[in-house]
Amino acid sequence: MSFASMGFAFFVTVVIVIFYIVPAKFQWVVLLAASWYFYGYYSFNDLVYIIITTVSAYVCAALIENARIRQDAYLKDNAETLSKEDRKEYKARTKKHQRLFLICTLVLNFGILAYLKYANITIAYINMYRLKWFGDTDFIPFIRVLLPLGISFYTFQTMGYLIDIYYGKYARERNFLKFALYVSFFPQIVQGPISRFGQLAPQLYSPKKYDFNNIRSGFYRIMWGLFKKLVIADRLAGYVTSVMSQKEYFGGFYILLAVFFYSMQIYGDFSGGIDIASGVAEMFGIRLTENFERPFFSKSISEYWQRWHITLGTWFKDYIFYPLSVNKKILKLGKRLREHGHESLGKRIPIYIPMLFVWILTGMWHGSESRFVVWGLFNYVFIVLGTELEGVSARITGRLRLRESGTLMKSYRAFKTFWLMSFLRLFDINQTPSDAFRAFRLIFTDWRTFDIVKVYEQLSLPQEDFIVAAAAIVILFVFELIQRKGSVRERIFAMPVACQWVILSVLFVAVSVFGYYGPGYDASAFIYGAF
Amino acid sequence: MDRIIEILREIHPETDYENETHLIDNRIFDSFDVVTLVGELMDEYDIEITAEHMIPENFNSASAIYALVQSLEEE
Amino acid sequence: MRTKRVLTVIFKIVLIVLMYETLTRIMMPKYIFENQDGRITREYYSSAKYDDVIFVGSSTVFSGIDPAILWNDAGISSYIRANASQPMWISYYMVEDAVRCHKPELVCIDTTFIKYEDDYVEEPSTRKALDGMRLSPSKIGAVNASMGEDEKMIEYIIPLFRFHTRWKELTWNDIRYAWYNKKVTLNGFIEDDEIDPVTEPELIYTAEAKELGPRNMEYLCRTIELCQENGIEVMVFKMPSHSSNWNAVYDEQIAEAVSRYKIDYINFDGLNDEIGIDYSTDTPDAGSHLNSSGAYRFSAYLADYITERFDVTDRRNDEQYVKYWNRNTNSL
Repeated sequence: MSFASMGFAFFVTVVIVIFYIVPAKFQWVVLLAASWYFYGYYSFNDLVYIIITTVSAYVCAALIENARIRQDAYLKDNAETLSKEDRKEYKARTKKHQRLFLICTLVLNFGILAYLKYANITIAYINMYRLKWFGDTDFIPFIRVLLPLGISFYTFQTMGYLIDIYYGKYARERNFLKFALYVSFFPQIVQGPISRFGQLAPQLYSPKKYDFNNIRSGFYRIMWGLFKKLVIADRLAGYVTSVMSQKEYFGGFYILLAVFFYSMQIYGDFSGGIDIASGVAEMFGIRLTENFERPFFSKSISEYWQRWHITLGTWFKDYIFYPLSVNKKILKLGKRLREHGHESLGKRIPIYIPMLFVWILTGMWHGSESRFVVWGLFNYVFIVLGTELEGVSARITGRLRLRESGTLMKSYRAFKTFWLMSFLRLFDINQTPSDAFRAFRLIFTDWRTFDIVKVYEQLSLPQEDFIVAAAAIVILFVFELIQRKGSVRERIFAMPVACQWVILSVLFVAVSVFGYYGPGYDASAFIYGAF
Repeated sequence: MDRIIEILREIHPETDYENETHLIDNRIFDSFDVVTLVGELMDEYDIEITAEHMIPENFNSASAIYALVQSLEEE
Repeated sequence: MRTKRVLTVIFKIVLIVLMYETLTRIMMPKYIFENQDGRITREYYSSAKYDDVIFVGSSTVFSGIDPAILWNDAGISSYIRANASQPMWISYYMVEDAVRCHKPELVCIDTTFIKYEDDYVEEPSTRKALDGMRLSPSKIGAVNASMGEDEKMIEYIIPLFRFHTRWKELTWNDIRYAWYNKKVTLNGFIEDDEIDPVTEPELIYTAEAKELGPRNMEYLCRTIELCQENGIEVMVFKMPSHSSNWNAVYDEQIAEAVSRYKIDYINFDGLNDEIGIDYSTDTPDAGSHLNSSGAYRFSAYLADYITERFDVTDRRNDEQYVKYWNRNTNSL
């Protein structure tokens, strides 16, 4: 059941009707049933993985919280008799237990994720080197191929919750089924956003009154998501793959165009999917965290990463980067550097080391092959360079008498960031790092003439589709320009009804007619033949 | 409290710390700044800030930071 | 106040339906200037209540039987619900659909296409046969019975999903004729003036002597049963042709199957001496189909054949019918 299918539309409609019919206190049960149905429908056998995660996290949260409750009770009961040292020691012991529970559960869940995600690639590398070095052809067989639906997303979301429980940030959810809903809420299970417990859970459990505005607003957002996905992303996919599979044949300009198109494709696909998820959630009166904030308007790579796949970035920041940055060893290293006169380096080391971990992990999160780690490291290097060269760049701008906040500088920075990030995506659309480097080199060395007819005729992007894609990208750009000044939907809803109808109709026609889906139409096949 | 605002001014001189209550949420402080700040605080007050204190709520305003420092100094 | 709100809602729904319908009609192939067989099913409904005789079968029927001649010669009011390569299951649902719209007196089933395989799928033909059908259990059944593996029911219920990619080849005519409702076929008859004579005057069947597909046979029997349950007479026949793609064992199998229902089966190939089709002038494609002159000869013969054997009312004295047939023949 893909988001962009009638099956999903039908499913959502049915769930919404039931959701608003049942008594409010059972609404969350409807969501849970729908979520499990959705997951089971998609891949029944994978239910076992999500159940393991749900149960293990539930039990672990209970153990951690009970340890805390016991500690508080003990300390309260023996308040008079215990010395300060005793209290500290008792607390440390509790902490140790809690940490043990936490680590076991983290290892279990991330272990499953790592096993399913990286086992095959590891086996492939082992086989390759065994063949290379020992001529050994006795290959280790691969494990099952398909990753369970959304496992990266729900694992991160659930483990984030556990870590928060460990830090005592929230009281745990005591109702197992309610907790299961937090893990498996269906709009976000496929591709996020990765929500936080404090933000999502209360919304999931609270009763909702039917409000037409939510339905309408959600519907607009779904249509907009479908527009990005069906009109832009899916239309460009063919071109990108075709060019990348024959880089030498087509040459630099075509690759450059593919790089641009791929940025549009992945943004349309991912943010479009998020729009659909958020729109569906909105129809249930639930606001999901925003995952994208016009990332292509970012003026630096670090800003870009605060605006693209936001929930993943904040997850890594909160659960990897900050904990590592206050790690004693790293802090000590920084201190020693400062004591030895490396003042500024000493300040940066506690930042750059954790960041390196974050970027290696972010790379691995995006894919199991080595090219993703290379991709992550490039991001890291660019961010570090960007920070280190801030002074230089400020001096250059000063020399040129350009205002940092002027439109010209802003556009230039956004342009630069966009292309840097787009070029990095060469690692995403090529099979190996060396392929990606080759493609990059070709862009700058192979300047054979560009013939638009070749795009139309050989690259699965006929002229009409090319025009539609270009127009849609312009519409997306204009939309986001407007969006900088506030919600576009609220603007639309403030318009006269007739205007709203026109906008919705145009959107509907755009998606249903210009959407890139279904079998093509071959007029000649419809000509009445022999029988 | 004044000392904390002084430290904050070293990182971002232009911000109005007396009134700003969303340093993190409004992205005035990025992760880089937060870690720098934590380093300064630990040196200045000889306290131990650990992973569990690293949540936005503790760093959103000068007074929140002050409260955090005070609670850690007590321990 | 309440009435006003209800009216607004109704108005909105009507508006949505109207916009959707217009969009769909613009996007769908028109079949007006070419491939007119794509309109046969759609045009049936406007005249359903006058049609006493229904023909089902494949393209041989819509090119070889002219209902106007049946009307002129014998006062038979008929409609052809045949389509290119129409398998027996579609014929069955065509009859079911017709019975619900207006019960005919006689249903004539052509078996030319029964020789094809049971898993025969040809999407464009299915589309042309069924896209014009009104949404009903019969349509759902027909689609289910004839869909290929990669087709989806939803694309039949919402044809926009199937034809949306036609935006690339839309012409002015697609908008101009979006709501065009006049008939372009004569009760399903499509005239063909081409002549491509047969080269081999003697007709010898060369098709494989096989057992006809059980699914095809099942739907043939179901069609007959459906008619008999509704008190409708049935004629089972094979259109005259000069095509070697047939085998006498098919005739035997069909004859045996329909004899259980006390029905005679007739293959008109063997009666050409009486019908008088001249395959040097009467076929557009070397014998597979009849052209307009062949249709003229065969229809004249068929008018007598039906009148002699079946109880079909002669409507030539019924004013309503006369008007209806005048409209039919004048509209083209």
